[in-house]
Amino acid sequence: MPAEPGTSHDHDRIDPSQAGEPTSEVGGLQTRPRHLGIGGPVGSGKTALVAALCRALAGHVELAVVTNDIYTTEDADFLRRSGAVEPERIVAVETGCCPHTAIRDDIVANLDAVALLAERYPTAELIMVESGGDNLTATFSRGLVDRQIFVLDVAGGDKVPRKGGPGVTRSDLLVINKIDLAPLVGADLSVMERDAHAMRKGLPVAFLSLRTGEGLAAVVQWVLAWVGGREASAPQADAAVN
Amino acid sequence: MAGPDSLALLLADARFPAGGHAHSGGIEQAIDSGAVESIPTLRTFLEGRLRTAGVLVTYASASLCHKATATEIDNLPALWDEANEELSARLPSPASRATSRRIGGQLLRSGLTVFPGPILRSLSATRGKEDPHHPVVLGAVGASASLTPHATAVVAAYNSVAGPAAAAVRLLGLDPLAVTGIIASLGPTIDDIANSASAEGDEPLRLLPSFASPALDLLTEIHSRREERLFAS
Repeated sequence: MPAEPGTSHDHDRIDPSQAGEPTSEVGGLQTRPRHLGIGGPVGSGKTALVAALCRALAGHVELAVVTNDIYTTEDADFLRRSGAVEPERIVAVETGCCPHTAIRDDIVANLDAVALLAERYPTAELIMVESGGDNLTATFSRGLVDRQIFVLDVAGGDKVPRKGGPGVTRSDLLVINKIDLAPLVGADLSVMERDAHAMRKGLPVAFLSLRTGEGLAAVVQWVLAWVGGREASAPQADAAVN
Repeated sequence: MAGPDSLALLLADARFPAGGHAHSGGIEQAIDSGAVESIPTLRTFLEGRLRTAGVLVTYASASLCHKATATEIDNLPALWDEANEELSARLPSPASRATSRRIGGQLLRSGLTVFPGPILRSLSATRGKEDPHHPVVLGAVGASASLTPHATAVVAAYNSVAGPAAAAVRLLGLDPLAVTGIIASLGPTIDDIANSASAEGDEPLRLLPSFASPALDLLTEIHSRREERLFAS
């Protein structure tokens, strides 16, 4: 088996040069905050990643969060309770049975939410939009976000990357989460790594365990390299959620 | 000169991006209460909604389309104010008023991009603290798209049942072919209401109809207090 992905020497795998200027037409203003979409299947760790990024970026990047819950305000409540971000900086959007519609085909409720946050926090530099848990075809509209992270987890099976879909093939960063579970669920990380790179044709892939904090610094660095922020150094990887 | 009818189809298309997909028009709560659980009970609900809440939005949309088309741009702000007051007066449920304004604001956001022009810019300038009610925006969008009041009325009446019907398909797993058949069977009623509404498009706004649907108001209020729900309203 090749060197296990996600270990510390692997952090260079994520090339910050992949992160450029916003390409979105939203608002068309240089001064508006950057919009980062976080998508992926149910239970892959999207909310936990948002919370971890909020903690890690605190003091570096002024941010706010839009959640897209499916049935409850579970995700928004989790984030509020986590203390990772002030409760007022979180706005929840309701998606009426169709989380993918709200981030892709009919984005106006999300546009309203990001506009509200941008108005409330005029100096915000980053607004993260977390999608409701969905399937491999879910992807964010470029009318809503400038960059998107797609989050998979190893417990969903090591065949998932090769199944493709726009989240796997076209997201700006593919995060494969819960690598600590790989031996427990019989997932082969080298297979996931090989397939993900084959499907993504050079786009970056990050291996992560939010439970142990392994790999988090690289994801944080990827965000910081794009957003800028007040300090160009990545915070410590121990800023993981429990 | 009237705009092409295809623009009415665009506005009535469920794929028109104005946030409507996240709203059930009260049917999520009607299903939870047991009032709607089958094709026949869905038909009863939809016809009741069409003849009460649907009539109001249809008359208001037709009237606003007519008036926004006929009013000088400088005089539009007074029209928007009066129309929003008349709508608020006819929506006794606070949750209904809030939803009407929320989806009104979302339609305005879409309309400003899809049908830009002085009418929608005028309406957008009055947003202030509160978004305009949905029928006000739909009338203004119809006017901005050069639709006739009649075409705008058809869109309003159709949308008042098509959205809730789609929500019922998702929530109950009803046969979508049978549900679409219900909408088709309501076609003559939709046309009747739209015809009457557009014929009265030049009547004063204070004469807008207001057919009470207390059960729908109550369902809407209960729904707005729920902790767990799939639809925003």
